[in-house]
Amino acid sequence: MKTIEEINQRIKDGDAVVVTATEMTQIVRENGAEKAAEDIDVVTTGTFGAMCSSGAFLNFGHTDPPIKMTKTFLNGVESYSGLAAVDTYIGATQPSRNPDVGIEYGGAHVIEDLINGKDVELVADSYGTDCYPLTEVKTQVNLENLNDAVMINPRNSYQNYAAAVNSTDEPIYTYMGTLLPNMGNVSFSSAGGLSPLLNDPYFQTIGLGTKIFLCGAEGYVIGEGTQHSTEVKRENGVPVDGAGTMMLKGDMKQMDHEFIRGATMPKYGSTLFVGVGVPIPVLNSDIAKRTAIADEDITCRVTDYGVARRSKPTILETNYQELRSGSIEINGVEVETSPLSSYKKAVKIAKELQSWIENGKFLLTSPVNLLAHEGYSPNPLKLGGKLLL
Amino acid sequence: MKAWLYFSPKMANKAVITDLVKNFDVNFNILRADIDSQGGKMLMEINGPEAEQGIAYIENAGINVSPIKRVVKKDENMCIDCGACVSLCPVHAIIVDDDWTVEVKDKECIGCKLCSYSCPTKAIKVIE
Ligand code: SF4
Ligand code: SF4
Repeated sequence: MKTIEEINQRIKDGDAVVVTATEMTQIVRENGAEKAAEDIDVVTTGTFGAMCSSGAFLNFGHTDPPIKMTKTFLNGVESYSGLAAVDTYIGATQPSRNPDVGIEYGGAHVIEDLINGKDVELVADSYGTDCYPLTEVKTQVNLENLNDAVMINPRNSYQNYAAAVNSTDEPIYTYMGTLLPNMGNVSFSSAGGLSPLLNDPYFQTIGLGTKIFLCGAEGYVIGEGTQHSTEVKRENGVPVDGAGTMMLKGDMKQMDHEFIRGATMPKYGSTLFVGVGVPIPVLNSDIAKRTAIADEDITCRVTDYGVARRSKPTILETNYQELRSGSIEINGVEVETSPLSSYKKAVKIAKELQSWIENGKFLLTSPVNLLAHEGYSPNPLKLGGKLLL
Repeated sequence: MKAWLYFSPKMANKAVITDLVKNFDVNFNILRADIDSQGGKMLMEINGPEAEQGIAYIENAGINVSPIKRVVKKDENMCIDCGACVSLCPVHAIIVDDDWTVEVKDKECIGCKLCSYSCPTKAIKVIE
């Protein structure tokens, strides 16, 4: 048993033992969880996936004469203006208002461009008030001259996520990428054994106030993400389907372009690839055992996106070792798999966070409130009229 | 080698390819074909001991042979190594390395463009 304070003292002294979740799997296999809990102080995790529920609050500063912006566009992408005069929220999936551009350049690309230091065109208008008489503004903004650029992502880093196939005769284009007809490929999206919430599946250490790696900067967990769910079936202690999520916050001015990317899923929309790494303090042997979870211990359902319903039929169950091998067998046929979330970057994030902690640059925080591990199950939205699907 | 074969309308019905296989020791693989009575084009991979003679033969027969050099190119700065393109490639020209880098083998590419269409960061382009 150790405390976060003790671990932080060791980090300051340069004595902390920090390993990645992949290394931890091996260590616990060899030495057992009891010994690993004594030897290891922190386990680092990482993931780099498409996370649609992402965005940023920006503050532009006041013009003279001032304007109360009521419609705001950044490089032609609308951002939400229902806030104070020069505050806005740019959401990752908002498409360009220019129909020729559409989903090819969306809010996610605006966020990437800002982090990349590029100038972004701001166009806003207003109905004008006595105290905010200006009704139009058109100018350039960039990360440096924005007062604030705070990324707040309502839902990131799903604990697990079902893989996708397509049983129909036509290709379909989804947020899981292009799915070839007749179950021609499988798309999955989780860093598996390296993924943050799969290494702390009962949220024994992660919660409001946990300091994390977010897109190359220090960020924070600010609570459960939207659609956080705790009532999903578990195997080997981890949920077999999408379950827990995190709401995250970070300062865009500190972020690194290498760990963030605007993207477009064809015929679906724009989305943001977000790099997240969470440090897990090894406070006891139970936590050590949980962080030892390996790709082969994490069940992943393969579901049919050819059925356009909220709950898609499960074709089979597999695990991340099989998915990462390049192909899985479906009905006696070897079908190729695509990861969709970048495992290479996930590994890089876990290693980067490891080196931050080893070098004493990054101390752990004690969360004010752990993420809920029970009592959360999102409800469907009931339609008033007839079902259209 | 891999090449586009262009057929004029006159050529479309002639059995040049059949004669090629009959008379020369070549292996060939038709990767794409778009031919009707008006002529058209065919992407073909031709190998084997008599590939060169075979190509000379079909050129003599009036088919325009245009060899393909680089077909597919990935911009390493734009690519995030997500792997979305890997399972889409019909000829396994896109692979994941041991360090999880996604690599495109342009020699094997047949230029179907499925990868470039589906790449979320537009990192992969097919140039012909
Ligand atoms: S889909 Fe695009 S970004 Fe992803 S690995 Fe392929 S080329 Fe790279
Ligand atoms: S263009 Fe087609 S054949 Fe060439 S690499 Fe891309 S998917 Fe493979």
